Amino acid sequence: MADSEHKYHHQKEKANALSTAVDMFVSQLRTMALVLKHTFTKADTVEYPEQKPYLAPRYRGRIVLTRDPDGEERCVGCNLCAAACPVDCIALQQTIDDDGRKRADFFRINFSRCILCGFCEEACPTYAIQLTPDIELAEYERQNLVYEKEHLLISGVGKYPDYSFYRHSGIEVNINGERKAKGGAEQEKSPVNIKGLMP
Amino acid sequence: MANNQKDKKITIYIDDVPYQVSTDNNLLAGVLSNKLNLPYFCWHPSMGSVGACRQCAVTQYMDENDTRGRMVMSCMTPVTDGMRIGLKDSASTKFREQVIAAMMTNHPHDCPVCAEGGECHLQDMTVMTGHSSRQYKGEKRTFTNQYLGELVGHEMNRCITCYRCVRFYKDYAGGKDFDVFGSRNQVYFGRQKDGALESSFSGNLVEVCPTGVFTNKLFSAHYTRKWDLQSAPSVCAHCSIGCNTSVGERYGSVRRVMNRYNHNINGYFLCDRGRFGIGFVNSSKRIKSVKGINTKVGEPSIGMFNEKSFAKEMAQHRGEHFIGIGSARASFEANRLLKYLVGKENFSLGYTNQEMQLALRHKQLLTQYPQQSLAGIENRVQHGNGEKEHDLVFIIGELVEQTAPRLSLTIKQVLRNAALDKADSIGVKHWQDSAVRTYAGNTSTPLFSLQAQPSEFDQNANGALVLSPQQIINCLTRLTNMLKDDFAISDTVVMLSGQIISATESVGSDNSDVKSSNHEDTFLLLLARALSQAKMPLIVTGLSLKSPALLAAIDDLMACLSQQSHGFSPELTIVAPECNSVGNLHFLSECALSIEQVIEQCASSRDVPTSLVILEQDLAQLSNKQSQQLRQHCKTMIVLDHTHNDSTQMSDIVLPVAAVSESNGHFVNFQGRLQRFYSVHIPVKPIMENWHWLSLLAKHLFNHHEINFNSLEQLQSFFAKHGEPWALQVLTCQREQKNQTSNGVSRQTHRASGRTAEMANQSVHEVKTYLERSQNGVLNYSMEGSDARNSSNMPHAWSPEWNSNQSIFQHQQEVNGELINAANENLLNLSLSVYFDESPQVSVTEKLDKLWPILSIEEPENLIAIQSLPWFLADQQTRCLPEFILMFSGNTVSIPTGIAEQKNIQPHDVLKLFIDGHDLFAKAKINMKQPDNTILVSLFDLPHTKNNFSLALDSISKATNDEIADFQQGELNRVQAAQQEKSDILVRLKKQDKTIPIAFYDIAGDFDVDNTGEGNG
Repeated sequence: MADSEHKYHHQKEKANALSTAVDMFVSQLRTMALVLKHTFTKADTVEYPEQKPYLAPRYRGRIVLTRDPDGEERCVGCNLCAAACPVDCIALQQTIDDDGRKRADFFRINFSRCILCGFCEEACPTYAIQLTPDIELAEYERQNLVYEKEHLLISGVGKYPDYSFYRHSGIEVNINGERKAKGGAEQEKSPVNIKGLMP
Repeated sequence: MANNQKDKKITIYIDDVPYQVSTDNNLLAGVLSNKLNLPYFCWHPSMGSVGACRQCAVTQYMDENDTRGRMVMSCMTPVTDGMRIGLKDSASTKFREQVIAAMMTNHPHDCPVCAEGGECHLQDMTVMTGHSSRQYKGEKRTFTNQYLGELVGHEMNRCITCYRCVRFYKDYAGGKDFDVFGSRNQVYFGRQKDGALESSFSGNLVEVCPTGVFTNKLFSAHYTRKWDLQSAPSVCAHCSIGCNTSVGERYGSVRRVMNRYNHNINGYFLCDRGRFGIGFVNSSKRIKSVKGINTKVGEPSIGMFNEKSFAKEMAQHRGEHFIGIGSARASFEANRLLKYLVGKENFSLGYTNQEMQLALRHKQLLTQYPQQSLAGIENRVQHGNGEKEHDLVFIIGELVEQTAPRLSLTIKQVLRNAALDKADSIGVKHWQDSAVRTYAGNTSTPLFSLQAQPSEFDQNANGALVLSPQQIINCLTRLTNMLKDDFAISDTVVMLSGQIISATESVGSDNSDVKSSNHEDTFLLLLARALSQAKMPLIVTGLSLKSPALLAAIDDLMACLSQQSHGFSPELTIVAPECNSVGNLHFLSECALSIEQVIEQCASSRDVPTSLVILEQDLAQLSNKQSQQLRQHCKTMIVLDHTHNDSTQMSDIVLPVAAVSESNGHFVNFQGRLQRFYSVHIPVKPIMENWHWLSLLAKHLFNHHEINFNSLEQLQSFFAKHGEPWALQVLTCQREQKNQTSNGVSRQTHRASGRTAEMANQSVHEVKTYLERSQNGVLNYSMEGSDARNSSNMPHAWSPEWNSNQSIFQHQQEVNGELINAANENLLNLSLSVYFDESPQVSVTEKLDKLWPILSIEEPENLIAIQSLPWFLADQQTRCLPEFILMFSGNTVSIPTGIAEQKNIQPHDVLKLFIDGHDLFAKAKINMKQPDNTILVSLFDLPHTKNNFSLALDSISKATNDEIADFQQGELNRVQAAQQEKSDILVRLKKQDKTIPIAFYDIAGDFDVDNTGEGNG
C-alpha cells in the first residue's frame, strides 16, 4: 500500500515536471511573440520632454495670477488664498495704489512647499489665482522654486474670460483710465443725494 | 465686583433647557451671557438697546404647552422668572435669515477689498443665520463717502443702518460733529460736510461699526488681515490711565492697536491717542543703531550687536561716578534696576525741584485716598443702584480731555447717572437706551469745573470757572473754609438746576474785578451747597498744572470733606502725567535727587568725574540753561532711548531701546495698578529692551556681577529674593498665568498664514518653529501653544463663529462682566517714608521746601502760560506721528482782552513769544473769558511738560513781516514734512515686509529666554 502510494506520487511528480517544462516553453514562446508584436506596435510612453502629455485645462499644476479683461491685475491682495493654503506657502502684502485699486505689493509662492491642492483657487474671490496644467516645476536649486509676483503674473484672463471684480464691486477705482465713481458699478443706482428734500 | 452679590439670577428656559440669567439686563444679554449664539447688530453691551435692527428676534412662549409663541426682539425684552423662549424654532430662525437678506440687498460686493473682512460682525452674522446667497436681483442704492480726517476712513455703501456709530459718537462720547441724515432706506451717517472728526474717540467707530463703514486709515494703508496679525497684550503708554491694548504685528512691523477688554479700566473703548499713537514705533525718528561706540568698519549695524566692542568702550568709563536718571515712560522694572545699579543716593527721577514737590504731594494723596478704577467710577455692570453712584463731579485744574482722554469718556458716563436714576424711578431700565434718553432728556449729574483754561465740560457744567492757577488755589481754600464753617448750608435748599451758570456767563464778557469775584462767590455758594447735598462726589484733578500748592489745597479739601458725617464718601481721582508716573512714586524718598541736585553734584565733583545714565528721559522739562549746565558738568552721558530727542542729541553714547511694542515690563497706572505689557515682536538688534541694556551695563560698566539677566523674569526673581513685595506680587501673578496654560499662549492666531513663504525669498530653508525652549514662557512667537482664550492675557479676542471683536462676550463671565480668566489686581503698595510724617514742629511744606526748594522769581507783572495743546500732541511720544502733526491746526496763543488791548493785538496777528531762550511764533486768538494774567499756548515746538510757567509781559511782541513770512513758511514746512514722512514710512515698511531680517528670528540663539527671545533657531 505504502509502496503503490509512493509509486503513484513518483509518477505524478514526473507528469508535473513535464507539464511545467511545457508551460515554460510555451511561455517563452509567448513572451517572444509578444515582444515581437510590441516591436511593431505604437508605443504607449511618450518621448518626454520632447513630447508632452495631454493635461486637461483644469489640471492642477503651476499657479498663476491672471488679469481681468481690461488687462489689470485681478489680485486685490485679500489674503484669502494665503489663509486657505494648508502648507502656508503663500505670503503677500496688500497695497492701495493711486488709482484706487488694491494690489499685492509682493506676492510670493514657495512652490517647494506647494502641494498643488487648488484650495487657493477655490478661495479666490476675484478669480485671480488659478492653477494651470503646467506641471514642470523641477529645479536643481530649491531656492528657484520661490516664485515672486513677477513670475506668477500672466497677461491673460485664464479660465474665466469675462470676470472683472472692480466692475461689480462698489468701490471707486479707475477702469481703463477712467474713474468708476460711486454708483458706477454693475447693478448700482447712482448715489443718493443726501441733502435732497424729497422723501 | 461687590455689586454682583446684589445681582439676582433667575431661571429662563431656552429651547426647553433651563439657564440662569441676571435680572439686571435684557434677554439678549442673558442669552449671550450663557454663551449661546444669537445674532444682533444694534445692541452694544455698554450702549444698551434701541431695537433698530430686528436681528435678535426670538420666539417667546406663554408656557410649556404653547407651541406657537410670538416673536419678540430679545434686546428689548426684560427677563422674567420662568420665561420660555426659542432660538431654534423655524419661525424666528427664518425671520433672522430674512433680516440679514434685507440688509444685504444694498451691501456692495467688496469684502475682498474691505479692511473689516475677516473680523466683520456682519460676515459672522450672515454665516450664523445661514443666509448664503443673494436673492435680490435689483439695483443697489449707493452713497458717496466723506473725508473724515487722517484717522478714520468712510465707506458708506457698506452701511446696514444699525445706528451704532451715531449712538456711540453722539450719545456715548458726546461728539457734536457727526450725525444721521436722511430717511427710509437713504439713511446716511456722517458729518454735515467733509472734515476731520473732532472727537478724540472717533477710532472706536472702527470697532463699534459691525461692518466696514468706518476703517482705521493707518491700518488700511499698511493692511493685513486679523488672522495674520501676531498680537500681544499690551498697555497703552500714552497716558496714565493704562488702558489695555492689543498690538498687532506682521512681517516685523507694528500694524495697529485694538482695544483689549479690561473690565476695570478701558472696557470696550480706547481714545484715539492710544489707538493711533502706536505709529510712533514706526517713525523715522526711531533710534536703530548704537551711537558713540566704535565698531569695525563695514560691520552690519542692523541685526547685529557686538558685545566685545561694547564691553571695551564701557571699560573706559568704569572710573566715573554715575548718577542714574529714570523716567516715567520707562517700565517699572527698568527704573528699579537702574536705581539698584547706581544706588539709591545716586538715583533721580528726572524731576525738577518743583516736580519733586509735586510728586511727593501726589504720593501723599494716593496713600490717603485709594483711587477707583474707571469701572468703579462709572459703576459699570449695575446701574440704578443709587447709593453706589457718584452724584456730583468736580473737576479741578486738569484738562482731562487733553491729559487722559479715556477718563473724560468715563466722566461723561458718570454725568448720565442722574438720567439713569430718573428713568429707573419710573421703571425704565438702564439698558433701554432710547427710552432713558427720551424720558430723562438732558438730565445730568451736577458738574462743577474749576479750570485754568476752557474745557469741553464747561457747557454742561452747573458751574464752571476759568481762573489762573493761583486763583484756583485761593478759590479751593475759600471753599474749604466755607465747608468747614458751616457744612449745612442746605437749610435754604435751592434747586441747582434753576441756577445753572454756564461758562459764558460765569466768567462773562465783563472783566471788572467786582463782577468776576461775584461769579466766584456764586460758583462757590452753588458748589458748597451741591457738595453738602451730594452723597458720593467725585473729585477729579491732576498734575498737569505742576502746582504742589494745588495738590496741598485739594488735600485740605478732601480732609474737610472726609470728616463729614456718615453716608458721605468723596472719591478723588488724580490724573498722573505719564504711563508710569505712579510707579516712579515708589522710588520717591527724601534721598531722591532732583535735576537741580544732579546738576549741583556734577558741578561739584572734582576728583571723580560724574557721569549720567539716562533711561528713556528726554529732559524736556528742563530749562534751556539747566540742560546746558547738565551737559557741561557731566563727563559722559549715556542715554537709553527709542526715539531721537534733545537728550539723545547731547549725549555721548546712545543705546537704542525697544519701544513699548517690542518690550516687556510693567507700567503702573494712575491707581497704582501694576500692569504687564508683552512684546509683540522681537526687537531687531542692536535695539534691545531697556532692562537688557541695563543688565549689560551692570556687567561691563558697574561691575555688578550678580546681575546677568536674560529675561525679565530673572530680574523680577532677583528683586523678589531681596524681599521686594512688588516682585513677589508680579511673580505670583505670572505663575498663575502659566498654570492656566501648559505651553504658553500663541501670539499668532490658529489661522496665521504664510509661514513657509514669508522669508522664502531670503532663504527657502525656513527657520524652525517650536515651543519656547524654556517652558516658562507665557506667550509664544508662533501659532503653537494654547488657545488665547485660556489665558488672562488674551493677545486677541476670538471665538468660534465670532471673528470680530464682538466675540469678547464669550470670554466674559457675563455680558459686561469680568473676563473668565481675569488676572488678579496687582496694586503697588505706596507708602510715604517716615521722614514726611506731619510733625508739629516742621510741616510737610517746610520739609519739602528745604529738600527741594523752588526758586521762583514770581513777579506780579508776569503772565502765566498754560499749555493748551490738543489731545493728540499732549504726549511726547505721539508727537512724531505724521497723522497727528497733520491734524494740528498750527501754533496759536490765546490772550486775554486786557493784554490784547494793551499791546494792540488783533485776532490772527502773528506773535513772537520769547520762551526759555527760544523765539516761538504763533497766531493770536483773543479770548474774553480768560483770566487777565494767563495766556494759553498751543505751540508745537514747546514740550507739553512745560506748563504753568511765568512769562514776562514784554516777551510777547508782534512779529515783524519777515518773521511772519518765516513763521508761515515754518508751518507749511511742518505740514509738508509730515506728509513726506507719512509716505516715507509706508515705503520703508513695505520694503521691510519683503526682507524680514533673519536675525530677528535668530535672537533665540544667544538669549535663551522665556518670553523675549524666541522664535526660531
